[in-house]
Amino acid sequence: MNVRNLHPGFVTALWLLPILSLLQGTVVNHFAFRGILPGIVLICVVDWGILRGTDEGMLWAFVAGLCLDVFSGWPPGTNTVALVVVASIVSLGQGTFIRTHALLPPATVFGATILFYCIALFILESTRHQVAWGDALRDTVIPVAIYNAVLNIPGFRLVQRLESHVYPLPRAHW
Amino acid sequence: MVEARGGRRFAAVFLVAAFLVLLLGRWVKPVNLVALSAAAPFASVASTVATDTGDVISGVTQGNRWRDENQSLQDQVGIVVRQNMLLQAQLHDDKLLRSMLRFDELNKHMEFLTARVIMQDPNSLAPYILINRGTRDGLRRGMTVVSHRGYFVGSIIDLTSNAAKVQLVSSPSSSVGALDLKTRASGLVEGQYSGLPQLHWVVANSTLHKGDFIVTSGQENLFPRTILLGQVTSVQHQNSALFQSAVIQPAADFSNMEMVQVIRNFVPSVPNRLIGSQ
Repeated sequence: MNVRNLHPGFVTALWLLPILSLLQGTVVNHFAFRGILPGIVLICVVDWGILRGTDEGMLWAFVAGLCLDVFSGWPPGTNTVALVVVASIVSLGQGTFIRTHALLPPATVFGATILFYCIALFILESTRHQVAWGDALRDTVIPVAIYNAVLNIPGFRLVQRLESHVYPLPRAHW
Repeated sequence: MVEARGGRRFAAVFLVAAFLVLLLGRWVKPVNLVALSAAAPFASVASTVATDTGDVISGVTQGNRWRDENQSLQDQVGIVVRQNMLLQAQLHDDKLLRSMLRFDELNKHMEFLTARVIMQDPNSLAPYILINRGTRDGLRRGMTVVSHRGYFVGSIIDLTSNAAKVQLVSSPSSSVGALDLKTRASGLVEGQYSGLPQLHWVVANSTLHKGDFIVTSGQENLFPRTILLGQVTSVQHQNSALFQSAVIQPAADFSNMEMVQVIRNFVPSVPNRLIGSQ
């Protein structure tokens, strides 16, 4: 992988992800369903990882994690580690059949959300925070995962469009 | 093969960097606060626009429903007023309700500063809010934050010049000295990730009832006294245990909080370094 190939994706991450993180805390709470907030940053990072692979997926996860850590009350680095680990696993599906089937990206986001929260909760528990695993999974993590999966159906299209804008296909000249 | 190896190395770099951020969290915090300070004005604007837009959309889409609801509620108010007359006969309950509803009157000595909630934590499981007041408004770490009705919300844990992070009572890092208003049983209200906060360390021979009001005890001089925390929803008590506990339904509604009040003239008596170490 040539580092130069990363530039368009890196530049996009630098302006898009801070904005999305800001919107996540200010606007997205108006779309809460019974106290459940969708994770637009997580969706975006997972979709980008599916489309662009491990390198860019993890780059986006790292930038997004840092942005979320600024606004989050969790110990600094919790979002970053959770997102980077999730992206490293999800991105393995790039170039395979994940993006060829309409239902696989939402299913991936569903699994990624659960993994993200499990990692975050594990970090929190290991930093001496009380975690009620059963309640957290039942009342928050699984509902958020379902919400994210549903939201990812239009979301994946948007990220695909963004990708084709950031990396336009070369035009054939006759 | 070379490309795949390079990619793996690249991925490993990010993994290591992410864990470094986590491990060096304490040193990264000042950078976070600078970023937070820079982002606060944008968050304030985005929050205002989102709230106003949401209100307009709700007004357009749900206007008819609200009119019907208003009519129905007015009918219900008539019934409630009659019931309330009966309730007034009960002196004890009356005293209790007045102590809650006349919060401002009872706390004239407290100086309140109204603040707007500009951001909620981006994660569903994190009980923190961001308000649009900071050190330039005279706020300090550890100050108590209450809702517009005077119910306990939490305390300030991080500050920049123009914003403050408030740790809610439902946070697992939060621990508030509390007592049962009726039976005077005292303990600590502690939050947890997901689920409701719990009143712990109440000695077994004290009495706790479902429905009792729990208020701040003011012990250790960390929080002002007699601020309503919530109501007991269930009591957990084992015969052999030395302590009992209770699940608390917080009085403040954290899901839809737009304005809060900071009690400005009550500063905890413990050193800042101790408050900050939560």
